[in-house]
Amino acid sequence: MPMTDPDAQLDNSAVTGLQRPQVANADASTERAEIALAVRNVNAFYGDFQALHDISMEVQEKRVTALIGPSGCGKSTFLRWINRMNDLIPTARIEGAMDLHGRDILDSSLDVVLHRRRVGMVFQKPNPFPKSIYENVAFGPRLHRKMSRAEMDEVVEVSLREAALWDEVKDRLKKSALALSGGQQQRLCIARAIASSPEMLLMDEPASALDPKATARIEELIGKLREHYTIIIVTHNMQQAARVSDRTAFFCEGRLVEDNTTAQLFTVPANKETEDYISGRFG
Amino acid sequence: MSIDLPSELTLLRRSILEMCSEIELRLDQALKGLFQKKKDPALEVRHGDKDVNEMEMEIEAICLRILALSNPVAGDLRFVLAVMRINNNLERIGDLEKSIAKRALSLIKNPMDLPDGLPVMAETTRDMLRACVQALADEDAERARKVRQSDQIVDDLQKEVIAWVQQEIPRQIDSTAAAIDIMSIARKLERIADVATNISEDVIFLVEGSMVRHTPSKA
Amino acid sequence: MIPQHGTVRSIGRRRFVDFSFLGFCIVITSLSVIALAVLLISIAYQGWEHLDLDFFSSPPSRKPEKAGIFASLWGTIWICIVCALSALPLGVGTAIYLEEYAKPGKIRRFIDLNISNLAGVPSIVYGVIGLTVFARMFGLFGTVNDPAIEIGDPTTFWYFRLPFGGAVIVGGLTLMLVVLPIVIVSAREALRAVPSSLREAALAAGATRWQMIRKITLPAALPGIMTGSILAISRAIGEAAPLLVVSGVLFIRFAPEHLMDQFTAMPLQIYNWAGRPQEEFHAVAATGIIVLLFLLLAFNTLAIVVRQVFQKPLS
Repeated sequence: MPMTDPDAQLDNSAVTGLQRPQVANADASTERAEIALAVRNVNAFYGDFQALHDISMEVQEKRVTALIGPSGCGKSTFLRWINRMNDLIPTARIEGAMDLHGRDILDSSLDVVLHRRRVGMVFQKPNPFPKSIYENVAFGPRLHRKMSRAEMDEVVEVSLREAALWDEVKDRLKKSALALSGGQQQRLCIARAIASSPEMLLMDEPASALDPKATARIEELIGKLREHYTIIIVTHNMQQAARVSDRTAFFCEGRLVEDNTTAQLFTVPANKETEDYISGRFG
Repeated sequence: MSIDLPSELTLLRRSILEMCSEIELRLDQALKGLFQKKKDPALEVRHGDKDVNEMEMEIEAICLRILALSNPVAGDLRFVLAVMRINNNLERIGDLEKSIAKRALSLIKNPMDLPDGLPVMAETTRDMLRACVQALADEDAERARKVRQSDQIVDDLQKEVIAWVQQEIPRQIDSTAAAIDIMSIARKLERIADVATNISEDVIFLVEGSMVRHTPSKA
Repeated sequence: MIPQHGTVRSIGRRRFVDFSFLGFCIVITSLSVIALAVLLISIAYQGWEHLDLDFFSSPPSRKPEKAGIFASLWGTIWICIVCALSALPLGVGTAIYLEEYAKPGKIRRFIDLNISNLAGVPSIVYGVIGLTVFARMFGLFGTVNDPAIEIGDPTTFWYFRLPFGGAVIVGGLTLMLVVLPIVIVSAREALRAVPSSLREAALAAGATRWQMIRKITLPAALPGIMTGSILAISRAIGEAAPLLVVSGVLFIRFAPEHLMDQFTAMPLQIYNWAGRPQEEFHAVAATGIIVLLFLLLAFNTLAIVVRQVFQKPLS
C-alpha cells in the first residue's frame, strides 16, 4: 500500500481499525503481543535440495499463527524443525536460528528430548497409542515426572477437560483409545500433547482427516486453547486459517512471502502472490 | 469452488458497468430536457426507472450468489462488496434523475430563465459521474480521488443557486413554482454529486482496501 | 462417449473358464489333503497300539513292548528350553537393534542380506558348527574326559564343565543357531508392522529412543514377536540332523539331569527305532511320531491362539 498518501496513512488509524472485518478475536492488541519464537535467517536442506530460503519471522505469544501455502512449499518442514522432529531424517540439515523464549532451539547442543516436552505436536492423522485413553494422556507426564496415582489422575482429567473430551470419556478411561471416533481420537492426541504442559503447540493439518462436524469442534477447541498456549497451525484450508488464526504466514516454494495479521492478509494482502493463492488462482 | 468464480466476477463487472452507462445516459437525457427544453428525453427518464431497478436487483443477486457459494477473499471480496455498494448508489442516482426529469418537464410548461450557476453545476456533476465510472472501469484510485475534490465545487454552486432563488422569488412572484423547481433541481444535482463521491470512495476501497469515507479529501 | 470397439467375448466361455479353474484348485487341494490324511492315518494305525501311559513313562529298551519316550521327551523339552532362552533374547535384541537403531546404509543392507541367507542354510551345517564351537570348543579347553574347567560333579544339578561335550546345552545352543535367523526375521517383521506414526507420536511427546521402544514399539510388536518365536521353536522340536552331529550317541536311556548331561531327542529316538530290524520297533516309531506330531500341533495352535487373542489393531 502506498504510504506517502496522507489518505492512506489515516487509514491505519482507529477509523479503519473499527471498520476492518473481525476475525477470530483479532483486535488492536495483536500488534502488541510478546514474541514466543523468533526465527532468524533460517535455511533448511534435505541433502542438496533447499527446502527453506532465508526465513525470518516472529511468532506471537499465546496467539494462533497459521502457516498456509501450496503443497511442497516448506511449511511442514518449518514446523517440524521447531520441535526438531527433522533430526530423525538423516539428510535434513538447517542453518540459522530459532529462539524459543530466548533459547536457540536449532543449536546442536540442545537436549532434544527435553525440548520436545516444551513443544507439543499434533499430527495430521490422529495417532493415539494402542493403549487405554488414560494411558495415552499419561504417557508424556510419566516420561519426565514421578507422580502418585492421584496426582496423575488429576493431570489426566485436566488435560481431557481442556481438550473438550472429558465428558465423553470419563466413564471409560480404561477402554482402548482406538475405539474412539476420528474426531475424538484427535482431541485425545491434543490432550496428550498438552498433558506435559508445553509452552507451544504445533499442529500439522489437525483437522484435514476429519469430517466437518469434528473439524468445527477442533477449531472451536483451538480458539479456547490459545488462552494458555502459543499455537502454530499448518493448514491447507484457507477458510480454516481465516477462521482460526490471529496471524497468517504464507509460504511458497520455500520462501516466506507474507506474514501479517489474518484480517489484513485476507482483505488487503501486500503481495500479488498471496492474493493469487488465497483467491484460489493457483496451488 | 462450486461456482466458476472468474466468470461470475466478469459477469458482475460487465453488469455494473452497463448500469453505469445507463445511469450516465439518463442524466444526459434529463439535462437535455432541462436545458434544451426537449420533452421526450425527460419523459423517457421518468418512465425508465423500472429498468434501472431491475438491473439493481440482478446485480445484487449475482453478488449474493458469489458470496454464498464461493469464499472470495482479498481483491475479489473487496470487488464484490464495492459493487454492492456502488449498485445501491447508482439506483439512488437513478431516483434523483427521475426527480430532475419531472422538474424539467414542469419547467417546460412554466419556463423561467435559469441562473448562470445551474449549467455549470450540471456540467460538473456530469463530469464527476463520468469520472467515477471511468475510475471504476479502470480501477484507478487516483482518478477516484479527483472526483472527491470536485464535490466542494458543486456544493458552492448549489449555495449560489439557492441565493439566486431567494432573490428572484420576491422579484418574479408569478414564477414562484418555477423557481422552486430550479431550487429542487439544484438540490438533486448536489445529491448526485454526493453519491458520485461515495462511488469514488468505494472505488478507492476496491483498489486499495482502505476506507477513506469520513476522511477529508486533499485540496 | 466411449467407443464400443471389438467384439463381445462369450460370457458362457468366461464362466466355463472360471468354473474350471475353481475345479482345478479344488482338485489340487484335495490331493494334498488326501495325501496328508493318508500319511496321518497310516501313522496312527501303526502306532496306536503302543500309545499308553507306559509309553510316556518308560525309557527306550531293547524290547519293543517296553520301549518308551520318557528320555527323549524330556531331552526335547530341555533342548527347547535352552534354545528358547538363548535364541529369543538374542534374536529379538538383534531385531530391535537392526530396526530401531542401525542407520540404513551399506553395512545394514549387508547384514540384512546375510540373515536371510542364514535362514536357508541346511541345518546340518549348524550341527557341525555346534560340534566345533560348543561341544569341542576348538579344543582349547581340553576334552570331556580331561576338562579345563570343572565345577561340581556329574551328580549335582549345577554341574558345569568346559568344554561342554555332547551335552544338552550344546544341543540347545546348536538349535539356537538354526532358529536364530527365523526369530530375527519374524521379530523384524513384527517391529516393522508398528506404524511409524506411533513412533513419531512417542518421540514428539518427549520420549528417548529407548523409552519409545520399551513403551510403544515393543508392546505393540509383542504379539507378532511371540507368534514368530513360537513357530521358530516348533521348528526346533523337529530338527534331527544337527542333534545327530552334536550328540553322536543315539542310545541314551535317561532324561538329562543337568546341563552337561548327555541327551536324546524325539526325532533322534524315532530315527533310532525306525532303523531297527524288528518290525515291532517300526510300530513304536510310529507311536513316537504321533507324539511328536501332537506336540507340533500344540505349538502351532498356541501360536495361532496367541495371535488371535493378543493381536490388536495398532491404528
